[in-house]
Amino acid sequence: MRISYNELHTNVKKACIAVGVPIGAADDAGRSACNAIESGIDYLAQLVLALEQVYVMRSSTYDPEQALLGVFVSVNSDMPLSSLNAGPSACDLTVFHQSLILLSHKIESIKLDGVDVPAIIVFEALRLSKHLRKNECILWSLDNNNGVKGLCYGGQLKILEGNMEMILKAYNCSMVMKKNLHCEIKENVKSHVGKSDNENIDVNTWSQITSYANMLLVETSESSRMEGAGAGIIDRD
Amino acid sequence: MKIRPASEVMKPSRLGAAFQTRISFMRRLIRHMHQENWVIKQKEFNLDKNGFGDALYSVHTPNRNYSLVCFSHYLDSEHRTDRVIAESWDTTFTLFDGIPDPRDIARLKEQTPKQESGRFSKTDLVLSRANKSLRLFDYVIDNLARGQQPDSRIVNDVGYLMRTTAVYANGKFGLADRSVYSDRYELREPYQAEMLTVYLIREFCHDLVDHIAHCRSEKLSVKLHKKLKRHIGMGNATGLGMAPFLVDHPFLIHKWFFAKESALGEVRSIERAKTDKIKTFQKLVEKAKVHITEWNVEDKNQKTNIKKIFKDISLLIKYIDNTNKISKAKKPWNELFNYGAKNFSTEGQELLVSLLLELYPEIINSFSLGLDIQTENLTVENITVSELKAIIDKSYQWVFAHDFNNRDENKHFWYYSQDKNEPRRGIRDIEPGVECEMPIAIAKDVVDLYKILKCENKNLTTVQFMVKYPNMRHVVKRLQQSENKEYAEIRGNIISANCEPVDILRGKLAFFGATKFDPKSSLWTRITLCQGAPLRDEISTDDADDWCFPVQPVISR
Repeated sequence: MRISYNELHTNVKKACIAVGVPIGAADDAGRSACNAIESGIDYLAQLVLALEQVYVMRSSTYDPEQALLGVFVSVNSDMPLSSLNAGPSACDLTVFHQSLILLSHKIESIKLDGVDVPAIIVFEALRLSKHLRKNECILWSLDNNNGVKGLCYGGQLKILEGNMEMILKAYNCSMVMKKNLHCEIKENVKSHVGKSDNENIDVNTWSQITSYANMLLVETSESSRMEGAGAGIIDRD
Repeated sequence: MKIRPASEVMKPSRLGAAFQTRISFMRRLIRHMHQENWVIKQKEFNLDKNGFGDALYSVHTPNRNYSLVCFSHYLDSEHRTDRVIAESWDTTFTLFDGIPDPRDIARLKEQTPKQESGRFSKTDLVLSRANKSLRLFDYVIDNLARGQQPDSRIVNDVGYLMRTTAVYANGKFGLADRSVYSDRYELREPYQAEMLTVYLIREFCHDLVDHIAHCRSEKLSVKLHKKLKRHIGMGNATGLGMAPFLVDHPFLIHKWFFAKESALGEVRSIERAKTDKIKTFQKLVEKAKVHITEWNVEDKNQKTNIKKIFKDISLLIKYIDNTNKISKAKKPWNELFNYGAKNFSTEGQELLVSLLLELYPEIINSFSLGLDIQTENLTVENITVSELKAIIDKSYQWVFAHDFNNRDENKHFWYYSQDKNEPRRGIRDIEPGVECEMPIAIAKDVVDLYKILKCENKNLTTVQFMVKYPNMRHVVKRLQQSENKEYAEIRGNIISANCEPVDILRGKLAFFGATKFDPKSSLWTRITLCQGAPLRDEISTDDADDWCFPVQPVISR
């Protein structure tokens, strides 16, 4: 089905807020979803999985003290790290603090342990890469069974090892991100960014995102119906 | 010339006193239609004797065509409501990108009457609906069918044949995203597609009453007089949904208000006023006086305000009476502005602003351009906690006027109801749903952020800060985005017991070009759009800018 980009942004943002993702990160998730679909990449099924992980408390947020040292680990050691919670902060740190000293620690790369749905973070990095300077890129790797490596630059995604399916299927694996200031982009590696495609969104996936978003709707009552909107319910004039 | 500061302009009480101006979106649209000689045609009009059926209007601009697809339905009076919770309407509309083929029409016939429950395509730009004014619609038809014109006083009292109760665009329910048309010259300024829709619905309303009257009495009936048609605008009922939009688009709002204040600054800077401009102003003020006299409302506060405006206009007329004195004065409009600031009510002052902006189209019209934004720039700027705190110290001092330990400052929460997603306002601690509160309490968010910033390492960067305090991410980004955009924030606490959302609604509606504000509660208002605007066959010939402050026409019945 066709979904407008405004619907996509709004519903993903609301769905994230509804499951407990902070508002700012939820907004980023909505923007990244739009950016990915505009780039011909559909990872909404992975987004639903990431939402579910947070909603049923199978994933948890990160430990901020550790994160400031460049290592994102789940606050609950029994649970994977929520990509929706960690993604925006991890990408920010990668972009703005690479090679800088974080709280007296020299950090070479940002590490994320046991990320529930790494695709969320890869596509967050893809969106942020639009704001990088020329020749800068975000290098990332997933430590799943086969290993996937790639880079994002200027809104482009190149997979250096592995393939898109492996990114999308990755679950509960570690991830490393690093900003490279002098990226040599090999032209023979194809970019995975394609044409905008918001025409073929899977109905069931969209329905699940909408269901989460609708959790923010407040059950109606007679008093809210009569007084909450400040107008009567029948207009005879 | 120093322009008015946001601390004054962006106060809800000042927003709640705003008037349409030359740079308002409807004014800009009509001007643009005139400049480009747009042609509007009634292409189809398949309505039965009761006015039920469908119609099609086409709009031909130099670059593209657009169409309004109209559906008119029977509606039981028990179901007629201005609220979002309505399930059926007298009329429903879609603004179509181009000229629809029969398959498009069939699709829209299925979807448009469903409104929010329908599903739309990227060729569908705007979705709207309107209900008849029971005070005026049948009255006008009865008169026309008897061969006489309706009483212009009664026409004026209401001001419209129908009220739109929603005008949706920008991707809602599958409609085209704004990005689809934001690079088109004719639609790139804010709300031009929506304003075009409203304008076309007004044309449809005029044709509808002519048609029904003719069907009732082919021999006796007359068409509604052109002067009355012109005086009939489109009503609109607006509720809470408009306020969160303003909060959610700080950069856009800054552009609008900065443009208006800059335009005012230009007029106030004019060194000398030529006699012809003074005379134009005198005539305009006289016209505005009549317009205000004809502004009828039931709301007590608004009635009081209108009385005050009337006194203000009397003072204004006295002040500008001496053409010779004004023509010799240095910066006469600035002197007048300062006189108004000292002696007029808030609404009187804002009316004066609107009047002053009318005088110099050659200067002011350009301020109605470039009021859109392509995307909100949300790139994180990596500044320090100390610098972030400085932004609050410099631009957000107003938030500290609200003591959030006081229950009244936290009294309300805003939410979307399960009832068709209708935006509503509840009372915290009493009504359920606070966990689903809309994140629009900017003043409170900034106060909360400031408390944390004061205790934090001042050399920490905002990126590190957001890692440490992820719940503050949206506030930090907002502050960075709003830096140096003075008019980005409404300077009030939207969740306070004292907040009158209707003020915020008026601030935005005035930018649309709304007139005759008719508040129905502190959360709800009715307005009129395009009252006095040229009709479709007058667009290319009449002075397309000479329709502000319309007054009741004199016609023989």
